[in-house]
Amino acid sequence: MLSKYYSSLGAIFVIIFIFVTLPFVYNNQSFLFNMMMYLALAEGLNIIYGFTGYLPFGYVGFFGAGAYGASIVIMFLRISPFLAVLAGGIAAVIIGIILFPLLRLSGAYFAIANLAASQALYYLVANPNLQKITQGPYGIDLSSVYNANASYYLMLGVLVFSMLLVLYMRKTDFGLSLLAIKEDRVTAALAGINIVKTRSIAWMLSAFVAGLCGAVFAWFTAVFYPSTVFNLNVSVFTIVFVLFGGMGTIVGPLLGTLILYSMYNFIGISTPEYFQLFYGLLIMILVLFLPNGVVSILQHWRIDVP
Amino acid sequence: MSHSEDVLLRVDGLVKKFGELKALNGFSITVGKGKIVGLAGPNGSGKTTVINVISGIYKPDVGSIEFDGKSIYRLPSHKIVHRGINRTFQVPKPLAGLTVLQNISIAAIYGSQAGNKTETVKEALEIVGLEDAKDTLAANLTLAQQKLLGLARALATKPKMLLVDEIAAGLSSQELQWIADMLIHIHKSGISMIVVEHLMGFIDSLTSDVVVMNAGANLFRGSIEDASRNEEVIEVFLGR
Amino acid sequence: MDLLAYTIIAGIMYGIFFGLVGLGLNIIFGVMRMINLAHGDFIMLGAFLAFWLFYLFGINPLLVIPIATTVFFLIGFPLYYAFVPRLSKSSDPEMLSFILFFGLSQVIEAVIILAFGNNQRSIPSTVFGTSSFSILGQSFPKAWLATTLVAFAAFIIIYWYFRHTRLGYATRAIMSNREEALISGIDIDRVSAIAFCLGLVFASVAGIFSYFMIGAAYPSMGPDLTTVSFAIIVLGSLGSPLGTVIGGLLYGVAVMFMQTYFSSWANILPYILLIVIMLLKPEGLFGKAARSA
Repeated sequence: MLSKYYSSLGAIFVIIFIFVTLPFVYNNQSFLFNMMMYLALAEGLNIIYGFTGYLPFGYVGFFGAGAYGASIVIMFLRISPFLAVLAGGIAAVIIGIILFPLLRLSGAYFAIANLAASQALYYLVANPNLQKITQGPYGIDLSSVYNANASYYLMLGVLVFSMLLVLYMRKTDFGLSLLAIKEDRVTAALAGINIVKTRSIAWMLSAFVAGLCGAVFAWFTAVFYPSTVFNLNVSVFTIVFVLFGGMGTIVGPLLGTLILYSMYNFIGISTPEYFQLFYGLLIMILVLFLPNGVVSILQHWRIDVP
Repeated sequence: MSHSEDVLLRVDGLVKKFGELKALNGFSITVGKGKIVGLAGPNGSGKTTVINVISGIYKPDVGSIEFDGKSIYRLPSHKIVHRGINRTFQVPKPLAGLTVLQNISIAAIYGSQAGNKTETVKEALEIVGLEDAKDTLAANLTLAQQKLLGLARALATKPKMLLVDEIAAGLSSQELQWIADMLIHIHKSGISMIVVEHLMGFIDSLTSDVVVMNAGANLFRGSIEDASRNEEVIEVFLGR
Repeated sequence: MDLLAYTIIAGIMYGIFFGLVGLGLNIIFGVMRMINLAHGDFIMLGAFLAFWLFYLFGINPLLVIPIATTVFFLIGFPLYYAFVPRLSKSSDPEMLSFILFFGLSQVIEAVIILAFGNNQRSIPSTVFGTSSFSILGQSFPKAWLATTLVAFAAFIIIYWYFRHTRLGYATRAIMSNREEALISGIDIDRVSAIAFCLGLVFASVAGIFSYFMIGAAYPSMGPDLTTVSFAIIVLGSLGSPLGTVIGGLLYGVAVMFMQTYFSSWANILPYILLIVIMLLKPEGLFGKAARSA
């Protein structure tokens, strides 16, 4: 029975191995952290985009909600950062629940409304009138609980969790029911699937992963501003990574992120515009010639991609 | 109709508006347990809208729909499926990116409450004769095969009633005969049906009980033989 | 009362300009059923074109309009034929075009930053004279008057185009029913390509005058303008270009009111408006064609 999980679990162990051992030979912890974060975000976005076809342009809204949710409980309740990260995930789920009505919109309309929602949340959090709660535009300072190593390994935990979630969806009826909805809503309903419930669960799971990422990011970074954690580039990068790798699989988003985020670090840090130009062109080429991403080449060669 | 306990589906005074247009204007139909009723009418008379409303794809504006003694009025599709009604489409809508087996399995898993799912899937595949194509992507099937897949998907939810929407359209006469035989076989297993068809001949091979509708309302109910002599029926079919 | 009068009059002028901001997006959506996610970046390109022509040669923004028209027709045609016919035949034109235009938006932004640096640019509003003009006792800079008149003229021109030219008539036919237009022998690609170019031209004209209504221009201003434009066309009527002016007016007056009376919440307004309208009336306040699932 377990054999159908072997290749996927193998991929997960490779990822764990990489991020446990790499810090000993490569001491750019911030790069490794961000890489894990984007890997987890890519898998989280994969849950909603890859399995249901909803393109969440405002995915960063959940990330920001997680960062602020965790920070606020740390500041006001003084609880352990580990618990606060969970609270960040839950904060993102709550935002997801508030945004349930957006799931009624289809295709590009959903994408734009979701983008607008993340911007609205950003301006809400950054509003000086809410300074007592969110510190408004002046940002958050968590340096009193700062712990780079703990937050690094917690991020690895979140990454593993996100991969297990996608593995679960790949292998179970729940994932199949989501794919059915993506293919044709009416037929899915006539197969007896409760569409509203099913897609809402996927949406909340996806939000939860982004919320956890944002929360751990807040802890790792310790000092940040609303514009840091609601930066539209978080959505944009994640979408590009998933598109490039190939959605709906575990490995696609991993491949996409590993390749492109490394590239970003080589060509993008000093002059981000070169990277922007590169991925802009890449997106256009993908849409025209390879809409299912890199893994579709592997699949074309009859390589089974978990 | 006879005693109410023999009635499986009772639809009364159904109205469905699309903006200004009344696609259904007080339509009623009853179907007895274990019966097949043909639903005929000219193009645009509202036949498919009836099916869409009963199966929950469209929400009706006025009326009542009772199935097996309980109201299913304005329920969402998946709940109607769970109550025991399913349907096929004139233009098949398979889950194109999934295999035949996945298409049917998902209906067995989510559509029916009880029973051995593997067994249900196997049966459905057998009835429609798609066993050999079970690992094919639905997108790669022929039109006739996609219609059969739609039928198998519906059967896998273990329905008490099947709404068959213009299944004959676009099929050869050989395929027609085959599908008619298949529907008779399905009916014998105890499934009631409403069979929507433009062609009276196809209905005739399944049942003699027919409802004729026009402009979203009932025009005639009775045997096909009487229908063919009814002046109003003749007029809506031939008179324009 | 003075403040109220000022707010309303300024809101109307501001609104007509924002109608122009959304117009190009709505023309392209109406004809092609695609959302040009690079719309805001074409506004930015118009703004930069006007800046450099003014800065290097002292060309008045009004004279940039014919230049921009030529430039964006030259850009628009190859862009259209390179991508759109291919996308129209794909499995999911709506989503794939959305993503493609998103890629294009990133390319435009990156190229402009690499070419001109990531700086703010502006054209002084005194280019239209230092004197002001007054309406109902409220005084406004002359540049506002020029901008409002240009935006108003844009709507007159598009009205005339749709009602009184053969091409415009064909464009309307495609907008109301693509299949029928095809059967009736209209060259859909040619008419759509022209509409696409018009969309870019109107975006660039909005960009040329953006300095006087929204301040400085900068390379990354595109995405926000795209979202605002989308809010405006949803507010007016998705897919009916003339309805955009209503969306613009509503938006303009609402923004002016917010800025006057609740200034700290003004920046959140377009996003909330967009979401609420899309959820409650996805066909737009005055539109017909619903686009929700």
